[in-house]
Amino acid sequence: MIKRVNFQRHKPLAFLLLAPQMLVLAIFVFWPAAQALYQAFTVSDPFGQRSTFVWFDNFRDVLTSPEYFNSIYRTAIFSSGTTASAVLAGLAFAVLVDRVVRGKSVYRLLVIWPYAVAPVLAGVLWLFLFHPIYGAIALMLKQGFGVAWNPLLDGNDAMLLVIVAAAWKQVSYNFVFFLAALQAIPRSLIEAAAIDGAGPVRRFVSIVFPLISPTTFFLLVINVVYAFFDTFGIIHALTQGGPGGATDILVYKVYADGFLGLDLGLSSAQSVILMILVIGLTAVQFRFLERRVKYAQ
Amino acid sequence: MATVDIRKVEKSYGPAKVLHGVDLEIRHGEFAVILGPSGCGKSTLLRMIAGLEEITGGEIAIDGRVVNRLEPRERDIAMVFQNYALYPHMSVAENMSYSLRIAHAPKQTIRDKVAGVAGILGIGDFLARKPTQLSGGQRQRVAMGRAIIREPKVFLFDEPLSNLDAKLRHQMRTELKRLHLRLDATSILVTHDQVEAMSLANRLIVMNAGRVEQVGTPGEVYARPATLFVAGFIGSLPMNFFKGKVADDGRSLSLDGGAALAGEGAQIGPPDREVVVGVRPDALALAPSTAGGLGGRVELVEDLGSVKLVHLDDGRDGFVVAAPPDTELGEATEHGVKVRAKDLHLFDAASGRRL
Repeated sequence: MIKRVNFQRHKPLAFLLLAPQMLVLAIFVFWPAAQALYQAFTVSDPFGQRSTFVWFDNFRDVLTSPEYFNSIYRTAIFSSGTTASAVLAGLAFAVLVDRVVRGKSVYRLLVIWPYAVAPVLAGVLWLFLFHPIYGAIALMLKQGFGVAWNPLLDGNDAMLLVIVAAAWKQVSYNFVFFLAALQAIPRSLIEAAAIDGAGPVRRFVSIVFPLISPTTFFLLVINVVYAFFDTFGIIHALTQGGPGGATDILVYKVYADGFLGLDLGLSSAQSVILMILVIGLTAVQFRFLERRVKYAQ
Repeated sequence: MATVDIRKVEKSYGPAKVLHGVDLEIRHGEFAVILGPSGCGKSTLLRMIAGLEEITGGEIAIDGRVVNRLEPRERDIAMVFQNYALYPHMSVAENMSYSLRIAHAPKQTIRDKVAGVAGILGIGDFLARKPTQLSGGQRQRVAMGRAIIREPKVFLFDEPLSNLDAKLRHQMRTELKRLHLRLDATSILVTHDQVEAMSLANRLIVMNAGRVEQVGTPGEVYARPATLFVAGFIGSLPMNFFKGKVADDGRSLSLDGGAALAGEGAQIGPPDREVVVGVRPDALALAPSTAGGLGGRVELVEDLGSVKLVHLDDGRDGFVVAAPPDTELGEATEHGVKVRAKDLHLFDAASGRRL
């Protein structure tokens, strides 16, 4: 039996034991979040000396600026592109590795590896490969195929590059979950389907995919959140939001307006909006996508 | 008329050989049961017939057609798995109709067939349920329904009853037998449960360590086990074994330890041969202790209600006598036993083969 502790008679002890964790949460999560929420309603001078409470002025400024809507549009392209390619590639790798009999652990390690690379390093890595002047692959594209590749000048090239770099990092994560999900499917189910007359494609579509749909759904949610929030380092290293705002996604704009433009109020308002957006998006996913998920029960 | 011919079939996993040239002929309408301890290669053989394992050597023919290189779906077989392998995201009806839907059968045909098979198996009320909402016995029926609906040439069963509790297992066993008779199909079932094997089989195939030990009707196999292994494996009470030697005239036996068994005047074995003698506990009867006869001191008594199992200590490995339930025995008393010559099973001591 699992030991359970009942704190009914020792309530103070229970709170005491919880206190360190609550303290950490309070200092590093709740307090900054509250600060951001408060600052979203103020205008302060760049040096943080004085601030004035301005109600919804910051939000009005944000929501009437064409750059902000450009940023939303860029974010939509970026996050859908990143999520789709990371999930699909993760699934493809997992299916392939699941079929391997010998040397499975080697393949597994190789595919998981990128996850251990820090976002900024990943960005630099991709920049070295695709930089129009000294990038090896960029050079090959130009000389071998005559593609005038230049992510520093061409917005579409830049978007493609950040999507590939961001997806590349997340593929490992998706791969691990998909592989675990695939391995959890009893072999006999696949064999039964093979005897029932289903070929490999049919087996994947009608048996395997429905059985891993809870994992797919989970990964979609996680990947969207990743694309929205955790891709700052990659953007920062690769394009800094450029060229001409082509990769200026919301989370990068929060940073740029706050720390480069030194408009903390505007930046805070954006981060509040970003948070609401992601919560809304996740809610939508649960509302409309989860219905198609086939949980085992 | 589906037959299954297995000719010199071998299976290796790398250097490990698990099947050493198996030869079997299974005739149409037979219920063949492959019985053996775990790891004897029986499931591997079944999976090779199904096309789930590659055939390392030899060939398998279903209905006269060699299927070595055919995909499972091209072999016209159906299989019931030990864990049922029901598709968890599909309803009972969808599970059963999966193969028909793949074959693009007309909707009306599918509905009729599902209803028909569900009727046979008594699962008509659960058609809309998911497998997780069913009991073990119901899942078992759905798994059988999924096999039956395809009307295959051969049914393959891989330990289909071993996940059920004892009572349900007995019930499903009789149902399985009835179903086999009704469908007039060829069935091959793999099990390690000898009661299941004996009750279902027209033909019993006993396997051990990748080889077929004996093939015959359950009665034949029980009455004349071909090898020491079969003798020890078949029978709900384990057979008693004694080492000994046949006398020069071939009419009596002297057992190691001094006891002698007389052949009642008949020839009981080749003269002057080292043998292992097997006697089933129910072929032995308690008798007064005699000098020079087989016997021993009562070590313990198991009262099973219908029979008393008396463990006798003969100073060597000991042996068991199945005595009538009304037998009264004193503790640690000496008893002799009687046995008829025709109940002795003689095996060559070196090869383990029946003499």
